[in-house]
Amino acid sequence: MRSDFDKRAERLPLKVVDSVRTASANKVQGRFQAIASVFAEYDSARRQAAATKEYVLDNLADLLVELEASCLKNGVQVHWAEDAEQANRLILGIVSRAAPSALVVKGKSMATEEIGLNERLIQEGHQVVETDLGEFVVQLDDDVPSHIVTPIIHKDRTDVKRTFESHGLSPRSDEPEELAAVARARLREEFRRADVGISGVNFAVASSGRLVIVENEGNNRLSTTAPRVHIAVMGLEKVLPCDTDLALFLRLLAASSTGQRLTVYTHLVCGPRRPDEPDGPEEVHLVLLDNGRSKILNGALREILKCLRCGACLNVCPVYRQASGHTYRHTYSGPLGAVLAPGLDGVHSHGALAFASTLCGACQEVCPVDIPIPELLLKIRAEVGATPAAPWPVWAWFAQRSARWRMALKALPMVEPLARPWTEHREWPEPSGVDFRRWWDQRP
Amino acid sequence: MRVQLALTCLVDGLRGSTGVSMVRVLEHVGCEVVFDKRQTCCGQPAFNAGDWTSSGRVASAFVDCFDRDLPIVVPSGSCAAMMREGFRMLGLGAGLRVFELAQFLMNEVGVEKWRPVSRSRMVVLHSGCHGRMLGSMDSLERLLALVPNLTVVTPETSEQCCGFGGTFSMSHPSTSKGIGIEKLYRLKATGASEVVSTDWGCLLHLEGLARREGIGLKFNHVADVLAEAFE
Amino acid sequence: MPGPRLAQAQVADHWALFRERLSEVGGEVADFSAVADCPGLFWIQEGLKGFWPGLDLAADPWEAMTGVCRADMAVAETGSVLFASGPDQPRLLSLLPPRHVVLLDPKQIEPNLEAALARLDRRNWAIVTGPSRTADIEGILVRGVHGPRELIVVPFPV
Repeated sequence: MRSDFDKRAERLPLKVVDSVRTASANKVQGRFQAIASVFAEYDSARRQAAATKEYVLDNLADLLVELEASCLKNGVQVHWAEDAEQANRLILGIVSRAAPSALVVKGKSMATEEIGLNERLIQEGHQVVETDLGEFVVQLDDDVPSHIVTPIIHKDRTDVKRTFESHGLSPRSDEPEELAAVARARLREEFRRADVGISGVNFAVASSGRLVIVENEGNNRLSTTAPRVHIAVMGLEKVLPCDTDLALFLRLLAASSTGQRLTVYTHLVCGPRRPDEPDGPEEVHLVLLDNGRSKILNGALREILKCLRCGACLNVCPVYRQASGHTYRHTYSGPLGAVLAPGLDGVHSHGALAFASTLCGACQEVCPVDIPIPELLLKIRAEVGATPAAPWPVWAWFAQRSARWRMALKALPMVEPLARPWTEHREWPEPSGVDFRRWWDQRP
Repeated sequence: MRVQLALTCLVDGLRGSTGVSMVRVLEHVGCEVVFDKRQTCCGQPAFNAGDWTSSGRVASAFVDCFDRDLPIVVPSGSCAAMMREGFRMLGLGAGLRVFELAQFLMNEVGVEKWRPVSRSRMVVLHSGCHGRMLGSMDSLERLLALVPNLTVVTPETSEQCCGFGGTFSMSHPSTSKGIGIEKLYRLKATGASEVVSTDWGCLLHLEGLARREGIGLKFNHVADVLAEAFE
Repeated sequence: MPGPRLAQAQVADHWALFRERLSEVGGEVADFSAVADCPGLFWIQEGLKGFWPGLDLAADPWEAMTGVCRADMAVAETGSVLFASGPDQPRLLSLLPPRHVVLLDPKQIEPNLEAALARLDRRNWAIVTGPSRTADIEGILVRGVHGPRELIVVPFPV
């Protein structure tokens, strides 16, 4: 039966498919070159990273307790959130204490997308401004990101210019340089006036309490430096044991995600502004978000918690390239999303995504921590079960005995009407005319 | 060396000629081919569709047809991957020695030369994705490079899947088509007029699309190309 | 925070690699004298102001066109400069002005990320690798989105 995913994908304008395909192909190329130039022995680097992540998952509770203690020592306030609602309430409390109707500037953070934080803050009378260029455009459009690293991969320059114009910003041209300059000018004032900055966290080091945030634009660093309060929101699984683990992960993330040796800005946040320092936030809060992660940890999809959110699996995925991110209808799209969405929200709400894959394995091949994504997709499929279910037991009845199977194969041309989804786009194959079994029996 | 032929459903039902080619090619490299006529399907369609109970029934009947001590050679990377990875996940058949044909010839037999095929020509390769799981992405290219009168080319973005994906092509027909058309253009852009692959799954999907869209390409299985040498 | 004493040859090697990698990410190397030629208002780190007594300083840091500060460390492998927050090292100085001039003592260059990370203390550190950039629109590289468009490293002392 044809999936809803496929119907949504079919409705995408050709222009979007082209944008996504071209940008993804360039990112695949960039990753390939970066890995060749950064890593003398990529395979062993990848194995080491996967092993470290395995260690983290095996010792997650202990590492988080250690992280909390280290953060407290650094003067960072730590909050635990079991689910989205609790996280939002916590953050709302901090923001409201900072100012009754606060201006909040945000760096790019998938965790806050996941919990729908912006809507909640706005509902409660705060103003929220996304400051990453792509996220800024997404927010103006009242849209959602279509890629975890490149939020407007589905748009081109004319789309961005149109968005800006409809919000009273007047770029002189549709050159990316000019569009970026317009965003820069517009957002400067927000950074300056903001009461609270909210960011994600890429890695948090248990032994030192260092919160590591990587980015290229500088908006994240501005968001977490200029306002009086910094709130960092982090999925539980982002913890690493020691500072010495960072180098490998920073390299893998930069190369896999944007084809760089290192992202432009790596912030290592170790606490609020000290009394003798001229700037920096007076309060730093760390929100540790579970929201389904501990459930994943103890289940069949555990390995997806190794994910660094580099986006390499999206870029290389033939289905993502054809369908773009919005078709997945979840914060996380692509192969990663097809596992994480059902993992976080339950297979009954997003399990269908696991079927939106050819199981080609390109995702696992590019994954910097070697997550067996195809295998995880298959496990989800098994849990969801086949739709429609009926044909498979019948098929199995035929396929368990060769005599029945021979009959079924002979009848293959007659089942053509059942293969409508196939023949709608393709010609039905013509048999070669040679019956192998007969040939085998008759050969001397 | 005695080897067991796993025929696969597509060859059994639609492309018997490729089964004949498999036997000829394997015998040419000195193998004695064993074919157990009780074999049916490896269970992959139901496995990928999410019905592991039905798949398991079929797969265990399939496993019973094979001797664990002899290598199994398959004219399909995707079925070979099922017999290795899928059977492991179903808790069956650990220890089966399964190889896709090109991988078997290059890595197990160690073929170093091949006779000319019937017609000198340029062919473009589509490396089936399951080579990734078998660790044999480059064996098709290395194998066909041995054929003296073939010019072998690879398309741009050759790492991209053709969009077949078995039951995926039925549950996601439009997405599957979009990916397939992109692949066809890349294949066509090489200037070759014949596509060679290790899998009839990919090939029948691409052929069906090409015929419907009027894209002039021919599709051939690697076993059939190699067997031309003995005509 | 001084690192272990390095041989002259090692310092020269680190500097050469640093310079190459910095230019790969769009940063430049300039002479000490080039600083004074930068147009617009300046924001200069305390303790360095004496080197350029005649320059126009911005009363409001958000108005400065050029920020000048010392790097607390650097990494040859990645062409990165590092800054640790402190009384005379405002975090915004390396971020607000569109041109960022960094005085770097070549002896402070660590060969790779591992060595640099091993030297981090409990201050807030920023590792800066090239000028601010984005490729959000059509994958086209644009420099200077929110952070500086130019990153100029000046060896110091010469």
